[in-house]
Amino acid sequence: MTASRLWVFGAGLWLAVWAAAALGAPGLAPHDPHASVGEPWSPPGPGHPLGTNDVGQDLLSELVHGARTSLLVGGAAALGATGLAVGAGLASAVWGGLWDRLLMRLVDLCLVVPALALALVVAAFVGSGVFPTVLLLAALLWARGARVIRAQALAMLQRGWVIALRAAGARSLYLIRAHLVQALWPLVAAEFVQAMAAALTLEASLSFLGLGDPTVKSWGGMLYYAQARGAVVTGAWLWWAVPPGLCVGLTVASLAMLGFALEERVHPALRAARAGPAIWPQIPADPLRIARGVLEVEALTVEYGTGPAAVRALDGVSGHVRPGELVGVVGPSGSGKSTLVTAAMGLLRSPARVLGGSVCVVGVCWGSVDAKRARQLRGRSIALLPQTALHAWDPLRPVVDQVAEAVATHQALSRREARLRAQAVLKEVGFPKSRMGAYPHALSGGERQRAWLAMALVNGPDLLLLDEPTTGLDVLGQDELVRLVRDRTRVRSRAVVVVSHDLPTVLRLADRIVVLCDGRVVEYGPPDGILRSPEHAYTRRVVGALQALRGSWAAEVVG
Amino acid sequence: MARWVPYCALAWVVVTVNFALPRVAPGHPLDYLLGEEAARLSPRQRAEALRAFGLDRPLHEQYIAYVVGLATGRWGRSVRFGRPVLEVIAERLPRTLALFVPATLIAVFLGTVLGAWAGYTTRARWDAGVSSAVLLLDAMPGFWIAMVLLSVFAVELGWFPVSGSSFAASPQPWEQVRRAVLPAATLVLATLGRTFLVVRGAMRSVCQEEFLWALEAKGLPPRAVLWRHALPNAWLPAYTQIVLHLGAGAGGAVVVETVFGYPGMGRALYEALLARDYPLLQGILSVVAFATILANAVADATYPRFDPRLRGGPAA
Repeated sequence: MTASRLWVFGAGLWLAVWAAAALGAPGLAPHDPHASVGEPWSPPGPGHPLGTNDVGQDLLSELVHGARTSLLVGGAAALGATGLAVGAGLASAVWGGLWDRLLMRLVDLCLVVPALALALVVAAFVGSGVFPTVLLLAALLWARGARVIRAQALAMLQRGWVIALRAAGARSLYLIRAHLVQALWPLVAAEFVQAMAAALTLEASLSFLGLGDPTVKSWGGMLYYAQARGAVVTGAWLWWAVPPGLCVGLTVASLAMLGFALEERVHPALRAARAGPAIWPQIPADPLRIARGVLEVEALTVEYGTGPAAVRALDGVSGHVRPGELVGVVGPSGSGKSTLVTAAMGLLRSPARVLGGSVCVVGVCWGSVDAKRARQLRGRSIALLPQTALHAWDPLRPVVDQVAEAVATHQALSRREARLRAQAVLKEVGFPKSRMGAYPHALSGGERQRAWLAMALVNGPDLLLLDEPTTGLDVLGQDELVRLVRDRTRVRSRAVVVVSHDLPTVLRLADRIVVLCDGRVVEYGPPDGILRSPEHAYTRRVVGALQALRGSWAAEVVG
Repeated sequence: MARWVPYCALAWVVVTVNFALPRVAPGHPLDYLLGEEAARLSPRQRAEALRAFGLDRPLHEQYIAYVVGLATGRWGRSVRFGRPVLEVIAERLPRTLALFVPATLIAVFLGTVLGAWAGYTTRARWDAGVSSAVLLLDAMPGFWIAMVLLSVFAVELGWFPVSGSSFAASPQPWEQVRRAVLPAATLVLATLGRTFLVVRGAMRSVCQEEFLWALEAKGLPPRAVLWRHALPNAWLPAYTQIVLHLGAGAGGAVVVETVFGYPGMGRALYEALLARDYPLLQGILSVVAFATILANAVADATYPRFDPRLRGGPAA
């Protein structure tokens, strides 16, 4: 739930109003809910804002008094359930071992028990008072919370400072008291709120089935009488059955809403913004424009966020890639390389904002095309080997299927043909034939990398973008990759851009090198030129370090 | 082998609870077994009845006899219906399934589609709107939804019969379907929220994963990304939870069947409760619990079909 503040506020207000009503029920209710104070079956009117029931009791008074039972039973049961959950969860996490196994088995048991059916049977035999009901609901509802709290406590016990405390001889009970409870309380509160929602529903269901305490007013009990006395088949349902039902429902919903908001405090990832596409400055389509290259970047300026906190990732970057070229883009972390790659793919997402400039692929500029045309460019005109190529597979489909899918997305081929095409290109990049049907998890890092390369090349793109292609590969793997790129990509793709912080690799590959620093192009030229006379401070430092490390090696490679 | 241990443990707990309930509950077990008649027995008849039911023997012998009886199909006689418990169950169970299975399939389908979309869409406002509405629906008690549907569509509009109590007697299949529409609709509305919330949450975490972004770089349309790749991945964590909810739902049908007077298992459970028909109650509780255990076993056994990482085969 996107716990927008307004909703949470509304939920809190609703609960506060009913809590107040429950506390002040004797003073607030217009009548004694047990007394017959009006004509039976009266519709809402003066004196009885919600009308009366079949024996002339005031329905509004019943509703206000009913809040007492419903909230009391729900709250007390939730308190008991949360107490059990905290105790069991912490004991499980801190002591571990046999304790943990036994408790978690018990939790599994409680989670699969059909709660309502069991509650019905137990309520029928043990009795219907408020206290037995509270005990019963607590016993039915503690399990979920115990599991959640155990998981979170375990995660906390893995943190550095807790391990350090334990190593320093801190006792388990001290750890729990001094550190865990404090860190866990938002989660505990979330569990309480959710247990209360479940308890309210169960209590209402029990009362509705006539298993509640008949001497006390409750929302579920009102619904039981509405049903039993036939309010459903007369018009009276509108004022007899609807208000208590709405009270149960809205209270449960409010509790759930608060629970979500609390959970988001514990796990901020739940709140992670969904990123829509970034807006590009509109460029009027110019039919007479002649593309100078497969990729043209013109004075591109991109910022993340707005206002004083905005970070400028790219600041007026220009450059182009001609057909047949292999261009290297190097720069330190934070120089804007990833932003440049994302912009080149036309996949910038908010909070990124394009302040100015343009990026055009084979003469088509992002921002001047609709979503459909943009998709036709991606994977066909411009293909990407992402930085995370090792992990960027759908884990549920064989690799060859995913390559074939790339074919089928862009070419009108039958399934079989697409698959054959995929297999052919996979073979070309040296993907072992015996692994063709394998799922991503069963492949080595090098194999996954090769397969991604095949997927990028399979549609014969005009431009292949390699984003940090050597990340996660050992020296041999890097070497193989460099050879693959040199030998294979030139056949399958018209131009290549290698973006990397790994200068030696780029030096071995590129015809031209662009050095990016702090979002600006600080240097460009052929590799040997940059190696011999680096101009920018960053380039000088890297080249200097390279030469110091390798002696004359770099000169040999270039020479 | 070890995977079956939790299920066996659960089955054992259910059986034991069933055995223990009438013995720890206030009153004498004979009252539950014989109903009203128990009060009219002379002391001698009482002793005979005790012997007949084996209640005069030590507790552990009673326990063994109970378990053996359960395993060999001797589930006792229903006091309320005057027939063997198994017979009553055999009559009621198919009716509940006829209602519960289609309703559940529809609810899971709708919940999945809506939840997947809400978790995936970049339009945060739409998501907030749909999610709030479903959350509200999920919070409404099932029996209340039943009452409102009954009042509006059966009483006020007259589109459907008011009560399903004549369900069994109704001759035409079409009429039977018509009687099942409102109860089924209630079950759908009352249970689709669970699936929705679970799938939506799973979808939100799948959306953080890198492969989704990579799919866009391949040029896949959002439709294909959502239904072909994101949803199957979101279903994995949701699957087991949904099955768990289904198990709980089997008991939840009690209130819905009660409102509509639909003569299924839930209604039988309620009638057995009111009549203190202990043998029937034990029987139904056992069936519901075993069904839940079975559902969990099926979920665990089928889970690897959806996740290649859990299947045997070549591993790196």
